[in-house]
Amino acid sequence: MAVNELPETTERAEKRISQSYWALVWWRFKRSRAAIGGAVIVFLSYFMGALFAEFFSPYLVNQQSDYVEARPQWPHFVDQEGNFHLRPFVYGLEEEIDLELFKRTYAVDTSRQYPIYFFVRGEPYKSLGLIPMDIHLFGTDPNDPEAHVFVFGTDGLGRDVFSRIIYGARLSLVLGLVGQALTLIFGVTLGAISGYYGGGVDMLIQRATEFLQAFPREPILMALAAIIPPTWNPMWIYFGLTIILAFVYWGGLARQVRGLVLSIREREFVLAAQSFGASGRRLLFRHLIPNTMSHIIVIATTMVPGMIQSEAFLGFLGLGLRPPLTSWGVLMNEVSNVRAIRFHPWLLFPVPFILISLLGFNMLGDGLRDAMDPYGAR
Amino acid sequence: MNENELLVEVKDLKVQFDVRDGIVRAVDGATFEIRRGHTLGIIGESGCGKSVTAKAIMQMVPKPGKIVGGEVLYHRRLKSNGSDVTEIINVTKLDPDGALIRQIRGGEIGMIFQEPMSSLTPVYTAGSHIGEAVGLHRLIPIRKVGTQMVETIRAQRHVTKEEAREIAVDMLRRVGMPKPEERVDSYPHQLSGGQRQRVMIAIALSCEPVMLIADEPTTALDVSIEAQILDIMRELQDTVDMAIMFITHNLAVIAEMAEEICVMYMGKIVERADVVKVFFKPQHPYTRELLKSIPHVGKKSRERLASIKGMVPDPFNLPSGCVFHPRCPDYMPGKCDRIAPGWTEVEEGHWASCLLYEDV
Repeated sequence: MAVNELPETTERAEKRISQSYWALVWWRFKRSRAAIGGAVIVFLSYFMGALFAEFFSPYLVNQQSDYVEARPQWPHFVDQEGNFHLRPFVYGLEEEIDLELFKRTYAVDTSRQYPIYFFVRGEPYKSLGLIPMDIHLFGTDPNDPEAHVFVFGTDGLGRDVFSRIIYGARLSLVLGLVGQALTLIFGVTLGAISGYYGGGVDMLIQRATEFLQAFPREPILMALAAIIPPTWNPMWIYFGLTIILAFVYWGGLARQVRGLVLSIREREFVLAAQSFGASGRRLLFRHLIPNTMSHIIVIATTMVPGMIQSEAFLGFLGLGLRPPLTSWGVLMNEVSNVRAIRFHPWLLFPVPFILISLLGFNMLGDGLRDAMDPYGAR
Repeated sequence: MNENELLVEVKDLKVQFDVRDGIVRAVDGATFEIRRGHTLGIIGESGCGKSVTAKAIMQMVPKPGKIVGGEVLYHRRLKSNGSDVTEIINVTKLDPDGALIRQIRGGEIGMIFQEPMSSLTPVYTAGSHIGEAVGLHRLIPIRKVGTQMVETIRAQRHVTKEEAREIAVDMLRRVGMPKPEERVDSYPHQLSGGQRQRVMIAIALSCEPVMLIADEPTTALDVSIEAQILDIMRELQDTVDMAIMFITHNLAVIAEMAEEICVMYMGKIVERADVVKVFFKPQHPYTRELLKSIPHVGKKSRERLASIKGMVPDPFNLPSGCVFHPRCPDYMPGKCDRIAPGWTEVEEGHWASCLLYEDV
């Protein structure tokens, strides 16, 4: 028995010894709860917002209702008589005119109950832009035209705020990723070239990054965003903004990559690779950049929230994306006045979503940094 | 084939480093040649220009160093068309990042380094290192059979990934790596120092070079591993018939490995002869002093171990005349500090650069 067990244990021990770098990173990463939490938040944000926003939101993004600036309808389980309902429901809304302010308001009408159904048929849409579907995660009885559920209320055009937050996540989060990808391409290539070749090229690239970094970030973003002609079609504005963000953010990354390349290129393996006949470009892209990859991934992850935040910030000032696009920045712009905060504070609901997703990214980035640090003491 | 056919000729090679504090003449007029299938040893203290010489042969002198004079002639034998056509290439005139020198590096002249710990790129496995070198250099003939007459057209292609892996496993087996099929997938940090140096040797030999430059290949290894590595190198040299330029400061190692020895001091070659002559009849005072400083096992003595008196001179202002004169036991005042010695053939095949053998 014992004899049979022996080879198995040595085999397992060997397996552990020959773990690859990424296996070790994963092993360290999953020991940090915050990092896992961050990863889950980031994954859910992208899954719900970027990929399947139509499914997770009860209404379409620009679907208007007769209820303008209606207050949120909270789901209830217990009705007025104290009866417990297994299926959650919302109360109907009663329109009232406030004669003092000459303003339409809504009161809760407890006489009407609209049960919430899951996986209901609602407005048709194309999932991932391809598959025609009409199933939504939740909604009201499709056979009752009166029924409605506005979990976070509605905006000035009678659109469901909850649906718009989920849709807004798509543009904001994808902008973070695409912008970061562009930043990586600019920053890593220029930084690595700067560090490896040195001399005049280095001088030029470093002065360019310093020039960009000499400006405070927000004003330069505002100035550049103001260049985008408002007459462009919204998609172009979106890409224009992405490029602007990448343009402003690449400098810091380029400097970090340059520093890493400067230290790595003196290591003996670069000389060794050269002695086997590797060309300069091969040394740079096959031997130097892969060795900076763990750092780059960490830096990139921690930079994504900055991009998302910049988009929201520019949108808030009305300089970023504009309607008819719906992003978190556009939603923030809609609450950028006192009236909104005084009379319909539920339009502020995008804020916690933005904060949570930024927090998720930061937790993920921190976790990755700890996990990938080869000198980590743990 | 001529046994003593020249492979690399280094003629009056001068390499300078132009640094802030002045110019360092790292190699100052080195002249030697390496023959096919032979082993040349280069010994000298740290910083005497051994490694720079080796790098100059590969046209890999690191910045801010520059080859300012002399030439490195590489006698390249073209393997393609059966006949022995030799082409002479002056390596110092080649573009350091050009296609030709890259073909020579690794493909025809392999190199192994002092620090096996850091000579492998940490993100690649042993196999992919060997595969990279093989992919860059090793070509396989393709045979095509024509339809009308049986005609073989020689063409060459690069190896595929699977072939490269097979070659890698085979090379690892040849350098004595235990369990080569498993080790081929190991990352450098999973290998010991000796294993890494074996991988380095495997990389250098994978493209069947005609010459191997071994720059202190065993300095960082412990003695038992050193012996194994040296054995492997000698065995492989016998099987593939390549020349070795063996650089070390370890006299015992060089006595074992080399056939001919160059002794270097401050960028100059001071003595050159075959190994027996250098060890038994050293002519240059520096060589004699160097040999005296080897401790002898088993010889008990109250004497302190001999060392060369004085310090290595400041490279920014070298002594006038013979650079060794301030430390030389045979210093001849009025001569050695004024006249730089030339080359004298003290006896047949035994050259020294010392005024003792010159009439001045």
